[in-house]
Amino acid sequence: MDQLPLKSLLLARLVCRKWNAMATTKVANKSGPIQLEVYQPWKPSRGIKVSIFIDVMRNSMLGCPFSKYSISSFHALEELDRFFFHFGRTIKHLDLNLPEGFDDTQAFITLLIRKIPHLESLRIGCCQMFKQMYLIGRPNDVPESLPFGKKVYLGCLRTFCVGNIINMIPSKSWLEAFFKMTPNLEKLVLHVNFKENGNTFIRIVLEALMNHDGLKNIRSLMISCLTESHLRTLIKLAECGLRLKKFRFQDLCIHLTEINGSTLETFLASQADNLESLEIDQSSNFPRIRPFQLPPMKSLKTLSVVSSQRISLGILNYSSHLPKLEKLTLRGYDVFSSSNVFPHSDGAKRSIAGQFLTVLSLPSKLNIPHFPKVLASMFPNVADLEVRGVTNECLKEIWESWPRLEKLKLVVSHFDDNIDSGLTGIPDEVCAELRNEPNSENDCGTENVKTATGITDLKYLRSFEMECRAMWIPCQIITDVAGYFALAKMTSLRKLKVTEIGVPEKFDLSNECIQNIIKTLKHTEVTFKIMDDHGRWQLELGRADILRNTYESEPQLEDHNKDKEYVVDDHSYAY
Amino acid sequence: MALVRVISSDGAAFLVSQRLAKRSGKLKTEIETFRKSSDNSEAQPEIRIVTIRAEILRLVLQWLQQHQNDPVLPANQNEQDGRGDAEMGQSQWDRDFLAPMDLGIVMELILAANHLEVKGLLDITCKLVESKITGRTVDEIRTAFKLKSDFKGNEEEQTRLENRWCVEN
Repeated sequence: MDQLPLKSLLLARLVCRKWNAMATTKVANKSGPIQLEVYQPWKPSRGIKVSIFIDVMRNSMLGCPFSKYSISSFHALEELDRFFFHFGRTIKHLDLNLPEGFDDTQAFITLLIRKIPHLESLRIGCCQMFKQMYLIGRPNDVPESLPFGKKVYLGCLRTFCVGNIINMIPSKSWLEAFFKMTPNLEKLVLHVNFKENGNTFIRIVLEALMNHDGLKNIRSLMISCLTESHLRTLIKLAECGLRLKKFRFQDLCIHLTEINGSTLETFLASQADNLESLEIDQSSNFPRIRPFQLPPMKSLKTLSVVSSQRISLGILNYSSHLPKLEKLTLRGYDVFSSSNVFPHSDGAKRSIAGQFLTVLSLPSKLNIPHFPKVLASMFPNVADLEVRGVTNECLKEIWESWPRLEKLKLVVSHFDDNIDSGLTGIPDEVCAELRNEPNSENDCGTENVKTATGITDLKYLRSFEMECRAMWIPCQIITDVAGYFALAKMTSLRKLKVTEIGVPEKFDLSNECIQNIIKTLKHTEVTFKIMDDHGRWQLELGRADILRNTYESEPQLEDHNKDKEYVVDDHSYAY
Repeated sequence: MALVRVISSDGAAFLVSQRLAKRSGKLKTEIETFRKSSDNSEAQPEIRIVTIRAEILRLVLQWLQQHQNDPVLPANQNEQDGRGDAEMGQSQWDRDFLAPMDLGIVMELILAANHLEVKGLLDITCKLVESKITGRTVDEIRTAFKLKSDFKGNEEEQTRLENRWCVEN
């Protein structure tokens, strides 16, 4: 049962009582948070009405199997009393979307201590509670519901996430008291809106941490944006014992001043011995992070830099500075200096650069001639590759340079030419001829027309994903030639996904070709998806849909704000 | 060539090269424990596997022999990252190996692969079972696994109701 995906586990629950018992215990781990709502003024709602959930789950055969919840649309915590009475003791992860004006700090803390004693991960959104001076009533005012005279603390809480803080200046004493109650806190996620005093919120949270006894236990910190003053506070926290394993910031600022490179260097140097994951996301409208040199980090396994503006990390010497790097993600259009991030001129360094690196995601517009060959000599053990913007020639070099690839994602756009030839290994002119000959697949085998290596030569490839972006003009980045002579031949694949974004009229591949791929790849999870450039309109077809009829399925209209939802740390909030 | 005697629950003995046996995490540990406790470095280890019968043990050893030159996968290799059985892949040989097996045998093979810590075999057998579940109706699953529904009253309907609320992580 451990090996089964959620869909199969849900089916297994329906087979018989014994299977039900075995599968149910696994469902709780693999299922995401249950979305609950007290009021549902608008329909259709994605959540479940709390009262319905309680009535159904009270009759559950084996008790409630869920431990993760996201609760919203309520006015006061009392409205959830019945829910917490029945299920509070099984809750481990809770996303509590408190009402905006909520300020009943006593009810909140009573809830955590008395009703959800095993809570490990908590996320709370915007509310007035942080403005209160005291966390547990006033100094001489011990709440009735708390065990009098006992030390009040939330020993199980490991992750605390604050989101959507708007126009809020919190009380430092409230935060200090909260941190005092949570000595085992390991992960802190602060996601705020910087237009509305968000930077002040973060500053006060960081200052409150200064007196936190459990500072040394905090291993992971995510801040939605960073300022120079935050960095200075972080440097002071490092002097007090802050030793992070994971540090991530999403720089969403549009008004704030620049971040001095030397300050960032100083903070990173203070964490250099322990940091295993560093993620920088600069999405501001001007290059706020001034050039800095990434210090040597002997323990760093994951480095991710995503930027919409120019960013300079200095020269990355993988062999001496980042010897344990396993995963490298660099993303952004023309924002990196290729010679700095991939210093390929030094042959000696290149040969031993990143032997542990297995996951590589490359930015578009890499100014390195024959980059697959050059990078394969630096990172020979890459098994999971993501490339943005490719040519036929570049694809051939990828197949030859990394023949042991296991997972590949190609992101191509209308700036790129048709890549049938690169995918199949068939010369361009022959591809053109094949395009004009219907049923050509039946007339000639691939090997008869193939002259170079193609994607089918990657014998270890198990997952192939392709994203075609044609924002303004329809274009055929791939045609049925790639469909018949490449995709349909990859019988060892476990997963194939083709997404077309921007011109959601029809797939580049014909219906017959898609049907053929489905029938040939019997053991593969196949998905074809088309969507507009904001993800508002999308049509996703799995195997069963395609076998019915590709073009007559109804598209799904997505929530317009979906692409505006913030992204919180994968491991903290996505549970 | 150093050998090890592996004995099944029903008493059948298999003489296996230690190199091959060590591709099983469990057998490797047993051999190393035997070496540490034995004074005679030439002595042949004997390992009793009380939970696996001869027919199943023979299949495990047959699979190990076929894959003896594959790289050994760590037991905790994450399936979700798509790299689970990628090194070994599910070759045509694997498909032919599993094709004639009754599902009952496959289930026993899963337990044996799990007990003996043979990650590659565990992956492909679980994948096979998963393929017998995913995309099928509940009745088809019951038929495939020769099971009967023993739900009482509205228990099945209740479970269906709960399932509707589960979403991917």
